[in-house]
Amino acid sequence: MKKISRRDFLKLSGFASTLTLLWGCAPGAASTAVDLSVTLPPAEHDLFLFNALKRIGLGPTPADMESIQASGFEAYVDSQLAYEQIDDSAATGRLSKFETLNMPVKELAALASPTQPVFELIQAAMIRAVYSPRQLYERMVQFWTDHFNIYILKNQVRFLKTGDDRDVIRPNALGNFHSLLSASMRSPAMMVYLDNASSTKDRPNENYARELLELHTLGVDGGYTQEDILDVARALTGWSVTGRRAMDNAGEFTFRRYAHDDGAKRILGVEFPAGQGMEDGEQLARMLAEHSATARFIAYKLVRHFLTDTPPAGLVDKVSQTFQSSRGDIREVLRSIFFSEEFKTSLGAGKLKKPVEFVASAARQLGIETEFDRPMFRLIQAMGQVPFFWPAPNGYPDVGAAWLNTNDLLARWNFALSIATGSVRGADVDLSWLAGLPEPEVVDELSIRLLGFILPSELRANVLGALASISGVPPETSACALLLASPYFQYR
Amino acid sequence: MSFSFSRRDFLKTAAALPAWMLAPEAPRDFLPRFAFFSPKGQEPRANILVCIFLRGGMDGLHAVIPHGDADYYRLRPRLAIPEPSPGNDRTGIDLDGFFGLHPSMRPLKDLWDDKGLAFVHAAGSPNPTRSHFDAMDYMERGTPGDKQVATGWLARHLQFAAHENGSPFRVVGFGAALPSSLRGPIPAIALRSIADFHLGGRYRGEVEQFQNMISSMYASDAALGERADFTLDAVQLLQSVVVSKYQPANKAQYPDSEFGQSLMQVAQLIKAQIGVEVAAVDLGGWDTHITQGQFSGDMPNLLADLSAALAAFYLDLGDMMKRVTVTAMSEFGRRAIENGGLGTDHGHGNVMMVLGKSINGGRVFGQWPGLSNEKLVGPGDLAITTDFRSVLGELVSKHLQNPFLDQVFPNFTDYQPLGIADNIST
Repeated sequence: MKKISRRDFLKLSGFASTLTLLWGCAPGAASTAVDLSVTLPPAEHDLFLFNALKRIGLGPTPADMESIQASGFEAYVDSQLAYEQIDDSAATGRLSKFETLNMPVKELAALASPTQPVFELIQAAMIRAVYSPRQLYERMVQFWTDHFNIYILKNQVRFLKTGDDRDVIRPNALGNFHSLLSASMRSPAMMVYLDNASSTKDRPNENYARELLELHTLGVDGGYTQEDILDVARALTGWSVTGRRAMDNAGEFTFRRYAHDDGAKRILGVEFPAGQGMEDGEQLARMLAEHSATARFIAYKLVRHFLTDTPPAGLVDKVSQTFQSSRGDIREVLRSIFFSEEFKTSLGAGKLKKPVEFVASAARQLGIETEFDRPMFRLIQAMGQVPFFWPAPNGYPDVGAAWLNTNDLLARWNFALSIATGSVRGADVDLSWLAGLPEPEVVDELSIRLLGFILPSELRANVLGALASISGVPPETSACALLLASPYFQYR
Repeated sequence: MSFSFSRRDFLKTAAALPAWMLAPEAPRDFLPRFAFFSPKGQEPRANILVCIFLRGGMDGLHAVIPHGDADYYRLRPRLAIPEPSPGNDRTGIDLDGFFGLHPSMRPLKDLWDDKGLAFVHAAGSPNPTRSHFDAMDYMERGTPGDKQVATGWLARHLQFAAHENGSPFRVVGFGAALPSSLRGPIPAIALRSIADFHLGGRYRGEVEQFQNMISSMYASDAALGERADFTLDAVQLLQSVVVSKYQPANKAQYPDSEFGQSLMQVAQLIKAQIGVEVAAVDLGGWDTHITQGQFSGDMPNLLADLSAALAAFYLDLGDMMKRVTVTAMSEFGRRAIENGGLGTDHGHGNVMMVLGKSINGGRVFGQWPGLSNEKLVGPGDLAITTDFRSVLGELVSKHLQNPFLDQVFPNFTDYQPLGIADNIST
């Protein structure tokens, strides 16, 4: 594939439609709101790359822009996929104070404070999203965390999720889907969350079996029956966790042969002979990971995540084929998404940021220094997306309609006002680089930093008018609050 | 006589009035008589429905126990609640000689005796799915088996209701996200906390200019513009009418839980008379595959929370419960037989609840299909003898006086009202 420059991109999508996409209007309904008299961003500020970064990562910093401009789009994607080679000390350095992240499960279970692992894991998730240069990797960690969602406040999960995050999701987020699935099937947190830990041959528990098919692999329309669910549950009887009753030894994966139903099973038309023991589950994992319905379901969810709430069927097909031909190689699957024409033409259009994405992008693009302790936690909580707090196994919704409501908008505006004015303890915004500049320059510099372009002229004039009338805070503070609260900043 | 003030007209007027005048305690003589305000001495026109969704699949056989059915005890040797025995609080609370309440639901017994509480047993959605997400989706759309209808049943009720109401608070959902029953053309408020529903967050300065600027920035956005305007209107209206420290009436005590506090705020909004017609509140956590708890534990705790909150709401609203009806439902019931982990798997038929002072309370409605093996359906579940749309349809047509049932529940041809809402005066 050839490299795409900004000029090519403009040619590709047409000047007017590029602007339309820029303003974040819904496709089809947008042309009315476009102001063509807008000043273009400075030439060196490549809007295509800026918009690509908004999708690949969690908010383009000036350093990200330098990096992608130096290497070009494709090389940047490849370098992000090779995440192990990116120095991560910017994030890991901030995590060293969280002692529970690397604790073995025995120690986690024995902690005096039952909520310490919960809050450290939440803080770590936010810190990594904001400060790690491995941006695509962290985005994929978030994606799989929701795909294999585990509610952290359920019983022993509060200390088991640490291991799921560390040993299941993070090592496999850009690896192979079968490995990820197999690891998740052995995850003590998952076994407890969806009750497989107590599933026995006499009374198999269907909870995990059902969600394994419906949410983790085939999808609800993946062609399985209630009988398939029962036999999946039987196949996984005995896949459990050590010491569930004796808390002193809680939390390692174990296979309890005496609890396993060793009879023959028939799942999705395939025979599972009697006497296979743990191989039942291994065979099941291979079968599900290779199933075409799984490929399609994962492809659909990934395209929805990276492009649009209404994924184009053609691209889903293509990505699904890549998933199958690469045998679930997540990097190959992502390449087929990022290097598609559909990805390029979708840029700039309305994919609403989820609250965590909104907060992370504000923090990254403004260079906010925070450890995400209580005051920041409260703000995220008000928006309804504390990491690991979604109680149902389907994970936080990944479409805008689920978030776009009065509570969400108000909470975003309040975040913008609170953070820009420095009213949030433990979250410092440094706007001194704008102090003393004339107001038009303040607005333009901040627009480029946060939105990637200069505001349409009429709006720019309105913002400047507002700055003059807002007393009590410096213009850069007001401008920052307004731009963070603006509709443009709600999209990625 | 019909008032049809627009929302904007109202806000303009309301903003000009001092807050004390619009506060609930204000002398009513001074209140402007908007369509959704009560003219002096008269009941407001629109009745109110509070819709509670018990997410996760509430075990109706553990809440309203069929103690008169011997198969119940056969299927649940370790989980069943013993037959009622007065004075023993580790037994069911008898309702009608056949059904009884789980002991954690004791706060609801007074409502039952007051004829303010009815149940419908073996009710639910005819679609056989045992997926939480599909079952919830079908129930909230009101179209079992059909995902083509994009709107929710409550939204369609409001869309086709016969009366005027320009309030932005016409329909309110509690929680960070809106339930999909409210998805539709009438914008709904999503509210977590009345106290936090103001612009400014932690910033203590002047926010008026920010507010104007936000409004103007969003004006050109096709997707967000209307929603932003609506949000700012709602913030402004709520601030003008709601007092910050709410005192429930009749010494009602709401539980300190999120659900209890949500119901208290529903009561607060209803009493503020700002035009609420429909409120939706969620209570999750009912997916009790293991250790659901016979007398204590996860499910008894949820039942206690649900019951205490509903009882407080009923007491707090007092005579207003004549025009406020509450209903509670869940996406499906649970397997009749208990499982190896002292829990229950996904099932089918379930119990629904209806509360209010103009309902035909003190009765368990519906036909009991029985729990013998040949009567169970699918993998061993309670059959459904009442379609949930017959229950909700009756509330829509009689309580909410909406004649367009065919719009609220499209393609539902088997509407069979049970007589739950027959006492409602129009």
